[in-house]
Amino acid sequence: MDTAGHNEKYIRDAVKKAGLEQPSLDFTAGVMQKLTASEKATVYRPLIPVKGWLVMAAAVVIFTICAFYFGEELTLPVWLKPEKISGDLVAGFLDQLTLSRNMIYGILLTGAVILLQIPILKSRHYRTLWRNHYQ
Amino acid sequence: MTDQKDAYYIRQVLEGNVNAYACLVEKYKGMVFTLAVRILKDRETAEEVAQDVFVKSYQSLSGFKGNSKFATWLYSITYNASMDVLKRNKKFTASEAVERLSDTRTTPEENALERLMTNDRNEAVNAAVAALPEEDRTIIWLYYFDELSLREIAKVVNLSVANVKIKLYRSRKRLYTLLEHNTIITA
Repeated sequence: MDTAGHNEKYIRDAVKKAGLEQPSLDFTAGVMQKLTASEKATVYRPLIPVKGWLVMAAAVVIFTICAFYFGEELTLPVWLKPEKISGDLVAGFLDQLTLSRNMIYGILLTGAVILLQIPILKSRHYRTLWRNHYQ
Repeated sequence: MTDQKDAYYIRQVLEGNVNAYACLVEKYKGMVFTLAVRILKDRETAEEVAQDVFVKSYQSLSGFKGNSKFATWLYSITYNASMDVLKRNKKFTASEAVERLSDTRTTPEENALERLMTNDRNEAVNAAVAALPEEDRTIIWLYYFDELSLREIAKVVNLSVANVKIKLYRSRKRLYTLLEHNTIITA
C-alpha cells in the first residue's frame, strides 16, 4: 500500500476506534421529562376566538341582507344616532352620514377577503416555518 | 429509506404513544451526542444540545417523510443545532496551522505515522481531526465512522454532493499533512 493508502487506513481505524461517546445515564429520562413538560406548557389560544369569527361572519351576512333589501342608501340605525352616543361635533357629522351601495359592496368584499385570507395565510406560514426549520 | 423498526416506533409516537419515543432516544442517543461532542468539544453543552435535538425531532416528527434514514434526519438537526450554538457563542475553530500546512508536500520517508505505535497513532489522528474546522470535522466523522454515503452527508451538512466531495478531499489532504508533520499533536 502506498503512503496515501496507509494514511487512509490509519484515519479510518483511528476514527472507528474512537467510538461512540455516551451521554449521562439519565439522558433518556431527561428527554422524556422535557417532552412531557412541553406538552403540558404549550397551550396555544388563537388571537381571535371562534366565537369572534362567528360574530364577524354574522355581521357581514346581516349587512349584506340589509344592503340588498332595504334600499339604495342606508343611514345609521336609530340606536346609533348621534344623540345617543356623543357631543355636537360628532353628532352633526354622523347625522349626515350615508353609504352608497358601492361603498357597502366594497366593505363587504373587504370583510370577505380578510375572513378568507387569514386562515389560508396562517396555514401556509406554519408549513413554511416547519419546512425551513426542520428539513 | 427508514429502518422498519424505526418506522414502527415513529408510527407509534404519531398515534399518541409518547413512551415509544424513548426507544428511539435510546437507540440514537450515542450517535447524536457523539456528533454534538465532535462539533462543540464540550460534553456538557453537547448533552444539552442532544436533548434539545430529540425534543425538536419529536415535535416535528409528523414532518419526517421517511425518504431518508431517521439517523440522517437526526444528524441534520444535530449539526444545525450545534452550529447555531457555536455561532451564538462565536466559537469557531481558527487553526492557522491547518491552513499553513495544507499545501506543504512531504516525501514518503518523512511520514511520521508509520513510526508511531498504534495507540499513539490513533491519538494523533483524533487530535488532528479535532483541529479541523467544524464542517470538515463533521464530514470526516460521518464518512469514516458512520460510513454514510456522500449523498447522505450532503443532506446533513446542507451542501451539494460535489461540494462534500471537494471538502472531503481537502480535509483528507490536510489530515495527511498535519499527521506527517506531527505538529498539532505536540502543540
